[in-house]
Amino acid sequence: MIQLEKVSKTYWMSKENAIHAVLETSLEIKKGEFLIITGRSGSGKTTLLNLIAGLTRPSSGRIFLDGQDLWSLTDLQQSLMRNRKIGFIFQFPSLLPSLTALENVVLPTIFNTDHAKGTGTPRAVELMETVGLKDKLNAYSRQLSAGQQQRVVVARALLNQPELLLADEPTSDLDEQTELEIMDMFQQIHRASGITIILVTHSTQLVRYGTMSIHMAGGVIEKTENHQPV
Amino acid sequence: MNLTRLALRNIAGSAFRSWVVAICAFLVAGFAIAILLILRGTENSLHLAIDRLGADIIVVPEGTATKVETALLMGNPTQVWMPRSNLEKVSAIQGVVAASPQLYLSTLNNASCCTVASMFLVAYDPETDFTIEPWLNRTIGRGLNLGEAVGGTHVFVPEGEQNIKIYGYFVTLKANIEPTGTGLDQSMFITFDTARDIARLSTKLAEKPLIIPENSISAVLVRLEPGADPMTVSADIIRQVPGVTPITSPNMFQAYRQQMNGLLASVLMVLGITLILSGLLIGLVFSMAANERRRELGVLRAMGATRNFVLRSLLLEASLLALEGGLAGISFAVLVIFLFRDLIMRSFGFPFLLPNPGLLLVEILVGLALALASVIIAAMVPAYRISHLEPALAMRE
Amino acid sequence: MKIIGAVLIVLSLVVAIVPMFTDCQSQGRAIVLENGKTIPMKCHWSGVAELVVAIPLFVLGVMDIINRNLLVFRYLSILGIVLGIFIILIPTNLIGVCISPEMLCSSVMRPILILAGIFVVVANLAGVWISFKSQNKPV
Repeated sequence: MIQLEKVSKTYWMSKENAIHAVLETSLEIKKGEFLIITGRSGSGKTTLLNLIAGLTRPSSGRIFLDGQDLWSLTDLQQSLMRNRKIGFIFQFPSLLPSLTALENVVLPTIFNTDHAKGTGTPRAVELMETVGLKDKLNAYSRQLSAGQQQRVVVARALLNQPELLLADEPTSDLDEQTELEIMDMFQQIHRASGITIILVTHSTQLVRYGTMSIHMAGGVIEKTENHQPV
Repeated sequence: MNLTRLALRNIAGSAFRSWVVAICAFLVAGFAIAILLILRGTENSLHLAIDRLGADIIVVPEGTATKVETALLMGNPTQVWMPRSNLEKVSAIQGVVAASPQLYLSTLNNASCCTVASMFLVAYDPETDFTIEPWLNRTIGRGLNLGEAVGGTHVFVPEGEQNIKIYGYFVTLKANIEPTGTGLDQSMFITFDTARDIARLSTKLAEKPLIIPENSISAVLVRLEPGADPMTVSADIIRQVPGVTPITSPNMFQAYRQQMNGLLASVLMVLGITLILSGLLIGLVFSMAANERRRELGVLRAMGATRNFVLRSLLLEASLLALEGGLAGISFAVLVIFLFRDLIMRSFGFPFLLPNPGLLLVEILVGLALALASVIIAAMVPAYRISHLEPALAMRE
Repeated sequence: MKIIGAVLIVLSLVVAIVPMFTDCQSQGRAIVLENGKTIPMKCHWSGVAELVVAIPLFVLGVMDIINRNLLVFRYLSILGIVLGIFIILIPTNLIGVCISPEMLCSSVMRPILILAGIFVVVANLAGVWISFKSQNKPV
């Protein structure tokens, strides 16, 4: 489903000083895979995720999503694709503070006119129930715990029934207990819908949740493993 | 949930930024419309006054042009005199088709009708007059009789009385002229006969007598032949009638016009500075805000918002704030000018009239458009920059 | 609520004090009858009436500040609107001021009172609106 061909991302700090966040990396991810990417800070794992989502442009190489070259698309086409096919869970708190939890979940519907008015809301309520926050529909992000906020973000990511779920260190701000709860939730979602999940984490212990794992260092993939999830 | 609601929520969510932008819009719009109202209102007033005076040229004693114009514009009475013989001399000049004399008088300090302390009193000659009589014929069907008067819009009969007392003499108010916004609104018009009657009886009835010098008039109102050039006729008047100054209709109130232009220049400069400062402040505030919300906007992009959407969203917020602040500023400015019109006129020394509702609406829209434009232009640069940032970059710490 | 209360207190002071310095009597003008007695003009009575309205407005402002109940605030605001309307009507329709535009009571006192009255009405309308909005605040 996803193919990276010799993808590099280089940041130029000055004329001579370049940082290779990702270096000549090739990768293939099949549909339905639950990929866990591990590595230390600065290993390039977040950059890799951003490249896959089209949130940053590669310095060289090509990226294919469902056979389509990501960077041959216009901004509008890319945005539509992101809206329909990709759900994103960020490392930082990403709820809009001026909206309630429900309004946050419904947000992806305003970016494309596929949805008839108001059809997003019932599904949003359903998703809030699925993540266990049925009673927090009208709460603002400041009224929710970090764990609850992440669950709302997951609900939002799933609103448009995406084919791909990208999670960038979704549990790094959480305590161990909550972390396990969130990871269990991901696993449940993976089993229930067969959605492709790519999850970035610095914790190698979480590798057991996935069907595939890669370890990154210095911008390249050091190790690739396939396994049965626990 | 749509673009507009999102914008509204964002505005509600950040009080400081919203207030700054709204206040800037308030100032720009309020200022703009205040200037528009006063300047256009003044022009309007002057035109109406000139129309009401109805003369192509007013001939006054040399050196009294400003005094007379002030009397007509602001209602401050003045007494100027020149020989009656000037009337014949002026009438004889080529191009003059009608000439009518007027006497400029004033009432005493405590005129009982309570309108103004000393009221400007204009006496005209019904035989030769071509401005007031025609209007009277249209309005009340005849001219003024002895003891009758026509008043400007602010002249009235005191409660409980039938007549206005001037110099101990009772005058009947027959009609009121429509408002001009000038001193004519506080002036009273009587015939020569009534004026002389008042003068005669004032020695007995009033504290101070009304004195009309023998064989003297204050001004001659001139109507020209169609096609005659006012400047040429004025030149002739200066040459052939010594000791007078002709004031031509287009040049009437020239002193005021110049004063206005001077005021206009400085006021426009202040508006210009306000616009620039506003623009900079808004640009700064929006820059700060856009930076603060960098991550949030990056998240929106990740969810499928196009660059265009983000730009539109930011500009919509700015526009809504501009409209809100602009409307408030305009309402406040219009209210203040409307309520304090008399005070403003007296403080600055020039008249102005408020426009009719239709014109007022147009001027309001102009003020609003200015506020909107200035805010959007100011917000455009930071908004564009942020919306075109790579999402991953936007979301970096 | 507190802000509105403070605003109303300030406005009530304006409404009470301005007429004292801008009515004709303070300018040395009054109607002198033939028997030598001085009677104040309309503007003076308007000023007195405004004082009568300003006092309850002041009290209302204080109550706005110390009150904590949303419903009470709403009712206080409705009363405030009524007071504001009276502040506007007194120098215009109910009693009035001198007609001459030259007099200070007409060119300064009346406009200030009308403006203050409008602000009182607007502030209290905002209060009513806030009282409804706060009630519907989400959990």
